[in-house]
Amino acid sequence: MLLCLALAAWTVHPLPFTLRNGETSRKPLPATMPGGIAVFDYDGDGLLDLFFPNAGNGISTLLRNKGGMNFQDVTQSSGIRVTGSAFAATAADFDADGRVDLLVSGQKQVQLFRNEINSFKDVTASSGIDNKGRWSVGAAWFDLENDGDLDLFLLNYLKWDPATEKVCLVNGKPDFCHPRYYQPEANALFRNNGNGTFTDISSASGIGAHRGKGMGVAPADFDGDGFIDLFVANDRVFNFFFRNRGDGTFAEEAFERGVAVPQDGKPPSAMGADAQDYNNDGLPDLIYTALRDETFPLYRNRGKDFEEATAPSGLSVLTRLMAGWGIVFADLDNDGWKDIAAARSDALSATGGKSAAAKEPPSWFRNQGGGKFGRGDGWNAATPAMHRGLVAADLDNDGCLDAVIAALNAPARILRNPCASGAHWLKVHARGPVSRIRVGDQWRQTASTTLGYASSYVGPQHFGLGSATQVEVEVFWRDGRRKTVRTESKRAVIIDP
Amino acid sequence: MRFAVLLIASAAMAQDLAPQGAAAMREGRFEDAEGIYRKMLKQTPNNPKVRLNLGLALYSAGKYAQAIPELGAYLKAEPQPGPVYLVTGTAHLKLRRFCDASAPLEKARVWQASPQVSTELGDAYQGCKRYEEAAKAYLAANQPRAAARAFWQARAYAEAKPLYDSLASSNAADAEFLYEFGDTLARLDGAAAGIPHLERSLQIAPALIPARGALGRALLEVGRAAESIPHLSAAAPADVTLLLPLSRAYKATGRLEEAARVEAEYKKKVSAQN
Repeated sequence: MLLCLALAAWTVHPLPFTLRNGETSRKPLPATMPGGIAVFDYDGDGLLDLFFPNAGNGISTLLRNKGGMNFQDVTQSSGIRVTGSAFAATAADFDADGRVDLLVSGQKQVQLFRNEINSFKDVTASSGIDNKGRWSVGAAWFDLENDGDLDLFLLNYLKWDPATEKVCLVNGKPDFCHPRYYQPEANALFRNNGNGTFTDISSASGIGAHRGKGMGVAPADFDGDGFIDLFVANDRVFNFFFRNRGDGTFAEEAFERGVAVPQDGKPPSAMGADAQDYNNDGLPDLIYTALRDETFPLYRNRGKDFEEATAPSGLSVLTRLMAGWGIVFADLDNDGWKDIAAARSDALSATGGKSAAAKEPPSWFRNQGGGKFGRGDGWNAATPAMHRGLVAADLDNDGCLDAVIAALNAPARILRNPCASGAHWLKVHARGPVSRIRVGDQWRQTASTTLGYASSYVGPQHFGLGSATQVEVEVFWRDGRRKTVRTESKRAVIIDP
Repeated sequence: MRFAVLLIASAAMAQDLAPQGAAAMREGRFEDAEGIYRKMLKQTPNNPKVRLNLGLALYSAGKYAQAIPELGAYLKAEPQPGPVYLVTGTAHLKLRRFCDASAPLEKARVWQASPQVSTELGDAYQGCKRYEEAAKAYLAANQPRAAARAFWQARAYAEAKPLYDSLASSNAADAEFLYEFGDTLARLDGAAAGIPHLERSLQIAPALIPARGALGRALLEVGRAAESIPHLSAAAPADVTLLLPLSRAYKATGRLEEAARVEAEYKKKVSAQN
């Protein structure tokens, strides 16, 4: 049995979608930035569907999950028409009508598509959401003031102008320029008015006062005060930690919290980010990807602040030679400890100075418990590519998390979990505005649907249970209500407030 | 570098000047040769072979900047790979124009992949900060020490480590070698693995500032904050990112005022850099 477990290999399933980037010989910076993935059940059939934003001359695409790892391109009939180059997709039910909507972040604008029963309508203009021509590579839906509505944070990268784009050489060849050649940009925040419209509160909230080069955003109630804070991973400049004061304003406290920069003092090329509790102490921790020799920094939440755990966890050695984009905490082996999955690739071009060496395989790191991670097995079939977004989700409803990964100029792929361990699991679908869920001694914070790089997930929360056949589930709603139930394993449970 | 083989007689040259020029080159009278070829060039303007000979005379006289356009004029007319590319690349190297040197040296390597050409190409890449290519060129020239350093500079630690391993016994007293090796080990295998090499490096060369920075970081990472402070303090003026670990070290040892002061300095200086 143990031997079978060790040899169980994940299988690769190509999808009918290819991520384009509009790369030219001059290597304009936006060509390295696509793209993320949204995983959500848009048609309510119980199977998780996939949306891929696209750039260059590619078409942003909605794939309907037909079961058995078969996906059908339904973009034409979906009503989703994305204009221009798009980078991120952030799904959430912003109008609380029970159907999952979709926000697409692009180079010049964002677009909001409302789900109107199996088809989508572009409601950007009527919503009042306007990013004012800024380049957004991500977003986060979260409840700013615990009023029950999902508000919107727009993650903006930097100021880019094709008219002033220079040609940068790497190893003697044109390649994407270092971010230092561009000016930083402010992020944006919109309050949900509860009637389908939004108000720009970037300035009033304090968010707009801070200019960075945002690549990842991880919302969570990090300090346990009942309000959702925002961690923003910035590219080669100090990260942001926006502490939610609870009155609609934020205080930037990245240095006070210990997450502005890794302990070595070198601001890394911070990319995608995720916040979950990896050590089962009830507090959401942080991780983000970066480039080679920068490691994938991991931060253990101590309540009032964070302690960098990259070296003691083993990730410093494991990730030193890696470059990454998408990253998620997810229990891939159902042992009750959240592992880490990463979509890897250099930020440079595969036809530039690093050539094919810019491509890397995806990796996962097995949570061994005790705060330690080791190399995960079974992803050998996933060949190197320019990977970007990654989401872990149970796409075939077999009780194990698969991984869907986007890569530049290559078909998106699903890494199907062999689900060979036989370990127990539970899916929790808690309805209403839920802040977090406890299953046994594991916690998942559900402050937002955003995860990793430019990606999002809306669906049941997955818990590996190891050998446990029965567990206690406790759901915490944002309005303070909580509910505890006991259930058997290997099933999906729906919990209403 | 001797160029007799490159001295090409041109039919267009004045019969009496060509042998004079060749004789001047053979006898090391490069300034005289330059004058002769300049005279010939007046008689046959833009003759590529005369320009080559003039370029070689200028190169031999140490007038590298003047030699390069003359050699380039010849290569424009005769672009096939050959030794003139090596001379051109070497001239750029002499002028420390490393990035300009790589293209002619790449052509020279097509002509002759000798250790000399590979070494000069490695030097060009390294000076141009194309470290990974430099490492490969040095490996082709069978220069593992230079290759190890170039891989380390390229942050290709996995490639550097076996080279350092193989060279360790013969470089046990080389402070820079020990610093690079220790830094590589600290990154690949964790701070504790690099500390002995870094400490040995500083025993040999206490003023090797980058090694002090690396040792300071490593000591702090393994919890030896007090020991890290003098190293981080010494290295921080040359690397402002060390101010943050220094601040952490102060904090860990209860020196909170110094920690706050150094952190403020770090924020200011690193913000300005980025």
